Amino acid sequence: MNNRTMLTAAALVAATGLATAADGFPKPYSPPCVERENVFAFTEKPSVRSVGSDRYEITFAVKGYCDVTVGIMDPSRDLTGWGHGTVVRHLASGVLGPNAPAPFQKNSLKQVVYWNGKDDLDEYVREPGKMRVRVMLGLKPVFDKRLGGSSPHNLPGETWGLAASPDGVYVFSGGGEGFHHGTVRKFSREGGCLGTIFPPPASMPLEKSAGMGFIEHEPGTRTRHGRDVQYSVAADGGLMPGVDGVGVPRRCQVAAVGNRLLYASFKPGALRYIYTDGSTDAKGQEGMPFPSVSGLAYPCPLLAASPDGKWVYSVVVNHEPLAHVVVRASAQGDGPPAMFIGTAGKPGGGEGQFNGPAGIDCDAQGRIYVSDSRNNRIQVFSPDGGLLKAIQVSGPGLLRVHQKTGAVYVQHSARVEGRSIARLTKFAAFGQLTEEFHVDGVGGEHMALDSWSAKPRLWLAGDTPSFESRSDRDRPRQGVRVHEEDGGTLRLALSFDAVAQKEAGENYIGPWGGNVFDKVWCDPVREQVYYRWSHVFDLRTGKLLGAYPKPCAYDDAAFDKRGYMHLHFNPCFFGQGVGRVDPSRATLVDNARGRAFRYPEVPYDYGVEALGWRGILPTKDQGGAKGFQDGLGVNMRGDVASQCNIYYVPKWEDEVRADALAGNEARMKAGQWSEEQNLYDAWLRKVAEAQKRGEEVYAIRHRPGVPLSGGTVWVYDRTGEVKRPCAVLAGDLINGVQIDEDLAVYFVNARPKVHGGKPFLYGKGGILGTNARIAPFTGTLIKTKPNQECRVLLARSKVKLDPLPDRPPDLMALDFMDDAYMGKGSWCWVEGAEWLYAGVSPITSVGCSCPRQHLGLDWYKRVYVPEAYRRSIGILDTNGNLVMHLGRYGNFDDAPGGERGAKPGGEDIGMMLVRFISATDNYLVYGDWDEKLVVLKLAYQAEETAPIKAE
Amino acid sequence: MRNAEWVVAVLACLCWAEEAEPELEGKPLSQWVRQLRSDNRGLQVRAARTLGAAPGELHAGIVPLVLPVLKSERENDKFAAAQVLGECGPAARKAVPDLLPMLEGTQYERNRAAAAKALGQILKEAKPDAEIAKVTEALIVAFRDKYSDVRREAVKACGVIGLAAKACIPHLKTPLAQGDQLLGSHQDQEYRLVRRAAAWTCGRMGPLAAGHMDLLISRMHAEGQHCPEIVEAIGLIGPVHDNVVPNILDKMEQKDGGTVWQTESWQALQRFGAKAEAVLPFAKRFITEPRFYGTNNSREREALVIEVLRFLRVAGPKAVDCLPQVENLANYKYPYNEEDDMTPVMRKEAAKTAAILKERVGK
Repeated sequence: MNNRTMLTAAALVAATGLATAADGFPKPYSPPCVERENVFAFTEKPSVRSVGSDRYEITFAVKGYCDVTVGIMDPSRDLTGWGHGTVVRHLASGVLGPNAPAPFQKNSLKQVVYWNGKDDLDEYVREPGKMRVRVMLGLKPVFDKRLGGSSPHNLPGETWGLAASPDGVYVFSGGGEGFHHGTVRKFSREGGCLGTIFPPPASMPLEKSAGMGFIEHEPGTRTRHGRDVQYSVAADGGLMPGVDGVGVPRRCQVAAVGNRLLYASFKPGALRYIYTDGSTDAKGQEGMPFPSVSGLAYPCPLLAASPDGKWVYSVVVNHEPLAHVVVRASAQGDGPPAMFIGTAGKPGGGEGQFNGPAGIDCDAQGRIYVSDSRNNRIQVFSPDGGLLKAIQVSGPGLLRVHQKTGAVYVQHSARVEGRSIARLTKFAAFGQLTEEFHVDGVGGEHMALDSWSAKPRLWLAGDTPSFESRSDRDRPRQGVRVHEEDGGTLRLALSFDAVAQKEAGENYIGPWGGNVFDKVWCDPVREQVYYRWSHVFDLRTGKLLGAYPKPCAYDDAAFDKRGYMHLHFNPCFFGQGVGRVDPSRATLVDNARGRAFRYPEVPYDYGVEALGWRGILPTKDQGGAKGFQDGLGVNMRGDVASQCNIYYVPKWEDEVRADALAGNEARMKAGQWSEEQNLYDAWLRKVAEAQKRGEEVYAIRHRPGVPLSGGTVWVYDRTGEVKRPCAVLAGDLINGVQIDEDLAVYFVNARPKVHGGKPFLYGKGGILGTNARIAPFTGTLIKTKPNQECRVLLARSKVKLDPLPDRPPDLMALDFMDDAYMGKGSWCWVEGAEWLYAGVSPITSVGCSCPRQHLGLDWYKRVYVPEAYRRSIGILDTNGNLVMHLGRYGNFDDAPGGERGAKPGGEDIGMMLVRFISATDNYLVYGDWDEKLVVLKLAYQAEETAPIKAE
Repeated sequence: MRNAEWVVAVLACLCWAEEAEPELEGKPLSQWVRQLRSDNRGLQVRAARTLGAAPGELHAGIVPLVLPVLKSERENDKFAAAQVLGECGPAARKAVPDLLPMLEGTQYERNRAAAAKALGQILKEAKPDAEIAKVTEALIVAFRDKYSDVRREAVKACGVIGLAAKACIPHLKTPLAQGDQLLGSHQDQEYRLVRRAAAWTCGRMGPLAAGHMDLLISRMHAEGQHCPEIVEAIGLIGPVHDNVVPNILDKMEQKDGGTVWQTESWQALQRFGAKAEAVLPFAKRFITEPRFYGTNNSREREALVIEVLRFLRVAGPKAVDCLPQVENLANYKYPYNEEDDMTPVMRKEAAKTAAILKERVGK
């Protein structure tokens, strides 16, 4: 869950004094790290010569300090079919020049690299003479394919609004489970997708996005964000104000007023809009006056516009204080909204009173039709609020009025043989209001009426109303359906689900989640990818191979070069530990949803029997407040780096409890959570029980400056023995961990890197069209020195650090991006780090650690890290040199495989919010905004191969 | 303490000295009363509990002894005394003038709540008079107390007093809808208790509370399954308009509320008799589909089915349409295992209902 309250607190900083001179513009890396030079040519092609027993000298020269990658290939095993073969030894990769990683020579365009005849697992290659050296210059990821389909009819999350207008139908959708990021797509009246209008397309100039947020990530270059830049970058990636999982309506009847699409949110109350081309203005983004609601209910505002576009009428479902009344608000935002008909909070059955109004619309004459559900009637009012007519209808819900014929289409219940069923009835226009026909079993949570199609078309989304118990309603979510009126009945003309399913064929994996949970893990041995803890795709063909249903609740997974899959268990929902399974010995099990695999366990040699597993790594994770512990890294050998959050701090239990629950305090105060639901307290009780049994509960050793709670990383060797306990002692949140063969750990800490005494990107955010400046929150990628302890030292620690280090701070410990918190007390220093890289995002500053992002590390030790602030993926070599920022802002249509996006082989990669990245030797895979799963091929600007001549 | 009370108290003791002082749990009454002033909170609570549970014939003797405790300087003493006097019911009527200031004046919300509760118990179903009017007025003021415990007890007390406290009816609207913006949250629990009490009191007021029917219907849809008092109140008020029965039916059909709520709903419909005949097709379906009982708890299932059958007996002439289903129920043989869906009581009720419906067919 997110903690928006914390993140957004006082995020605005004064514009004054925040000059951003180009020479002082922050770079995410620090010296001696450099960027690659974009010159990709050999001046001397690679050659190999034997210089002794099992010693081969590889030489080549290049024209510029670009990134170079060298591998020993076995051409006989060509998994991809690209003719390169398979890498048996990942020899070197990095940006040449002053900070070139070993074994490259620094500041040299001519390079000599040696191979000892061994593979990555330190075994001698049987026939080295049959191998080839492959030298690649300039990594160039190009679009290869989308997995699981790419139909725009497969909407992310749930549909939460529909609006029909003379020029088409607009479908609003957003992520489920409280992670709403808001997407609007426009469809023709026949149902063809005309494009994603929101988030706006990349081609829309920023001037047309007034009121939205931005981040200036390079001098003069701004990337579009949501108005709440904090939220847009740090948490859910939401761009639509009010549609953020907090104040968001579960559903909203959107009103089309001219070229504006109006929707309402309640916390605080605001009537907002976007234009039908996806552009925005300040008023629409800030919101116009609308009633606020308090408490926890997710009220559903149903809006209807008067035909002259002057007024917006609204009824609210699911919120008692605002129920039983029609609110009238100015569609232009002139003046406060008024309680127009009925009395808020006072149900009644008299004329002009309501009991649970559940539908509203206006006809072309401005008459207002209201479904008065619990009074079993529809009341019709004149534009001045006088009652004109009422007709009896059983339990009326959503209703729409045809703008040309005046016919009224109403969803309601009907009782047939003692059973209530969903019914949709068409009534003649106002003059008669008599039933023309009805259809049973048709309905939805959202309904729009296309009054401009040749035959009236009803657009429905969400479940058909059910009159059964919840347990009987366990069926998949329903997408948008279009029903056309035809000869006194309704005919299903189009189903979005069916279109999406047809497009994806056998690779269909259902609707996109649109949330923050769907992780991506590549299996480099088999060139496969795991998505959403279940689906397994073949990266070469893009084919869905089947499912690997969770053997237990696990947070993270990683693969070693033997092909084993390591699983990091969730300590809250399952238990402490890391388990290992072998996909090569998969058995097919029956599964109603298709092919599903079960993998046998491969116990670690020194693992322990627990949780029904025979030999797991007994990790130190301490669950509770932050159940998700997302870091698991495995190197080619199978050594494991496991993130363990530590929350047991003797003497400071209460203080740590407060820290650990920081994100949940607000939720508890709001009544969303209770002490009883608090996993942290439950865990503390377990600690007490364990101590009574005489078991030792791990606590971080008290030392000056070190954080005593939060993220740590432990390193185990492939046999399961602890190689380095508490190898990383970072505290706070860690999102994503990797480990290389030198036992260097790569991890992302939720603390911004310091640049000029301020957090990275300080004052670089803002709201388009205003002078407001914002300091976005980003995390920092840290690489530790090989096989050494890495500690973050805090200026303000429980055991005081005295004296403080005599050097500028590396990081800032900030819960709030506010000047008041950016003093010396927030300073942190990192000891044992090789380099730091700024701007890692999305990541949350404090509170609950629902998975936010996960860096990737390939076997050439290249790091792929999400950079939501600039809509890119940062690719670094193992010395922290920047290979490239991959990608730029782009909505669904701008993304690879989209209408305007890159075609296969294309380099221009549009992306919205990449969270989870994973790579093999040949592919880079990422989930983008949980509405697409993208595969890029790792191509190069130039490459040469050379044979290896054995002695 | 007024002189007269002292006299009564002393006389009571003297009388007991003459006879034999009654004992509770082996201890003389006067000793329990002394213990009611104990500094030890545990002993005090024990004394209050014991005195409160004393048999009715002792109440007249207990009241004069406890009245002085109600005037103690110590809040704990007052609290314990109010509890005991409340349990003594109408016999403690003399305590009313002293409980009223406790309801209005004390800063201790626990004592205000105890006073409200005691007033309700003492004036239970009393005939209207000036004192009750005054008490009702004070209780209505307490509907707005800062603390939910006080509000809940004040609202409930009006219901306990009954029609003599009918002046509270218009003021029940606020407690009926209190805190509903927090619906479903942990914080809502305390508000919900107030709402439940308000619904219960509405029910006690019967048709006089018809003005709240629409609000009760609205509340029933929002949380009826958690507050069976709402549908009970609807039943006690009666089908004051055409939408009452369909709304109960709508809510029952959702059947997310469990059998307790369902049982209460069928009882409400029984009160409506033939005016609830629109429910008959649903009732017919209900007894046709065993799955529909929706509970694995055989006792709850039994109670539920019995209430449906009782409804059929009073639901007017059209109920005979359900006769075949009722007969089937009476002769139902569970086909699968020993765990029978039908208990002997259910069969008996089904047979009885079938007989009544048959008789109606004959007529």
